[in-house]
Amino acid sequence: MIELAFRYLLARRRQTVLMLLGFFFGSAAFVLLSGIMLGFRYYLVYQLINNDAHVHIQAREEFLTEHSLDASFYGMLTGRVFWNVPPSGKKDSDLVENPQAWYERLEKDPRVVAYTPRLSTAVLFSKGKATATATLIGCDPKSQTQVTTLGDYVTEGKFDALALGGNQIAIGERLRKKLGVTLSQNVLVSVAEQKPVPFKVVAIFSTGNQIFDEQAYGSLEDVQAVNQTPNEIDEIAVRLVDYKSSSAVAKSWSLLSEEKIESWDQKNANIYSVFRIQDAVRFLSIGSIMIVAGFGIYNVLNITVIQKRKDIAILRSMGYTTRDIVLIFFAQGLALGIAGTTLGLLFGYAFSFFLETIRIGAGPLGIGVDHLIVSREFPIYLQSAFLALSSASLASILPAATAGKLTPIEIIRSSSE
Amino acid sequence: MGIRTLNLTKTLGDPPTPILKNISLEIQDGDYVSVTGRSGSGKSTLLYLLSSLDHTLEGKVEIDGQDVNQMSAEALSLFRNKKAGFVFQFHYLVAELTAMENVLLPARKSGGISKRREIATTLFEQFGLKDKIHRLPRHLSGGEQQRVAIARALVMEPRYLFADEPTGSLDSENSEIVLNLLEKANEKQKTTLILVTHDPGFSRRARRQIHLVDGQFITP
Ligand SMILES: Nc1ncnc2c1ncn2[C@@H]1O[C@H](COP(=O)(O)OP(=O)(O)OP(=O)(O)O)[C@@H](O)[C@H]1O
Ligand SMILES: [Mg+2]
Repeated sequence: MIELAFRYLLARRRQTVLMLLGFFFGSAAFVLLSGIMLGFRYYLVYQLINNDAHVHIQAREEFLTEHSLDASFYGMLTGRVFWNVPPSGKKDSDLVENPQAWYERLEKDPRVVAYTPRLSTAVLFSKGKATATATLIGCDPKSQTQVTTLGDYVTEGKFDALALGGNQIAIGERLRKKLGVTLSQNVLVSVAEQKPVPFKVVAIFSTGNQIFDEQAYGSLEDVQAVNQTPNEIDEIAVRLVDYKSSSAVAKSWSLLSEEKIESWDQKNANIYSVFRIQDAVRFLSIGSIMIVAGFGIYNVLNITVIQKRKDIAILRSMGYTTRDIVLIFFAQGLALGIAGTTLGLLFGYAFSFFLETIRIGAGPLGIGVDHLIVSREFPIYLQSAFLALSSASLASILPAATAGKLTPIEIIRSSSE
Repeated sequence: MGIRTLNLTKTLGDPPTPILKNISLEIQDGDYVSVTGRSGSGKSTLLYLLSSLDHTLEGKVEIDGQDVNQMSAEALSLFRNKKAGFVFQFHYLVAELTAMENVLLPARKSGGISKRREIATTLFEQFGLKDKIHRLPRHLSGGEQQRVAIARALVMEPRYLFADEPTGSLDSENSEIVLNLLEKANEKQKTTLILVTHDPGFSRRARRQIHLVDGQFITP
């Protein structure tokens, strides 16, 4: 039966090639589009996982509501207070309370690889006439390089030098450019109205991420001193053994404490909704190519069944069963689907290597790779094959069933008239 | 065993018109029967009923003692594949396949291709088609195509050969060749031959003649 199906296909070469092309393009497009989308996505997620902590433990941000201050001013008994200008804003203390308890907890937790207490503060950097406001992050330099991959991006100097203390900083490449400083030069750092303090640049890092590259790091003590908040921290950054467990771990910790605990994926939840939209677009657009390809097969097979009525009659008169006839026509459609998809997947696979050689500037999110990243992971190919083959099977089964239902006598009667 | 019908009636169309009325006949194994009648008299209808391609609920057809209406789809398929050969007026060859491949189609269904290939080769020789085995049907003349179709009907060495005006689209010379081939199968292989024809001359060559008039038969 299958061989007969192939003979029919070979006899109609041009039509066969056209139908095949539908699935070829559909699956190649799916594989490449998905590869580019997912390649970029994995790169982005990789960056998120490695350039930032897995879990952030931060001071709870409390926003004031209209009645937040009623009790403090008028006591618990006051039923209703009307403000001329209702209170608004944020509670002042944005510091992690009792960090010591956290250190003990994190020390004991086997899921934790490393953690570092941090204090971030907005400062004004200046070097001669050049000034820039940026975030200065105080950290434990040794732990910081274990919590994130920042240490890998140091282009000049040594990040660990910060550990020595004595007002040294590691500075991001973009910030360095803005200030026009080079390694071992000094910059002035000032917080609010206070007297500027000189810091020596001991390391320069370039992650490719604009936000990171406009920050600077110092030792926790130095930053606390500049900020005039000794012993205070506003965040503990944690790296876990398994980044995938981040949100679960964050959840379990938030049951234990007052602090705001956010995993990397919660922090970047908006990116995930973009991913979902991308997925929808990907499946819909390629799905429609597959549907069009399916309709191609459906139409051609329907016409073939009509053209081959006499063949069906003669085959049935030789003892070919309904099943045999269904198989002959179904196999034609499925064979096209399989052939087109296989070629499309192979082409997509090969072409993805070429795509990776295409040079691009840093991406829209400032992620610094200079070429396209195309994912070639197996599930993409599986999804593509599944989409194409379900479309091909659906499109073939209907005409094939019609062919199977024809009885020889009907065909003979109608064609002799 | 042969084929037997009992009070066979076939009604067709709208309004329902009886095409065949109460036909009871018996065809013996190895018989040679011709069916004649004017156009529209129901010759083809009778042939398809006798050969299991068509069926009716009024009256019954028994092939080798089995009621056709009681036969399962598999049994019908087996009968058509192994015991019946069909030749139609239009020689229904599969256009995509060569002459040999067309002839081997029934064997492709049931297996045993190599044995059948030998038989087919012999048939091609007997039919004077030796040098045309690998041609596609469109490169054969009408007479040659019909001979290929007969080879296909004979390749499984069937017990029954059903021919519906096999010479209908051929000139007299080719008609003679084709009819001789069918008759030879009847003589040599003792294949039961049931031949529908317009031609009174051909009809007379049969051992038994059935003439259809008004849905009933008269044996001249
Ligand atoms: N599907 C059908 N519906 C209604 N009437 C039909 C149908 N098929 C055949 N008939 C009628 O049945 C009658 C017998 O048809 P049949 O084909 O058996 O005649 P025939 O003797 O073989 O004629 P011919 O010599 O032209 O082939 C005709 O009158 C025909 O019009
Ligand atoms: Mg007829």
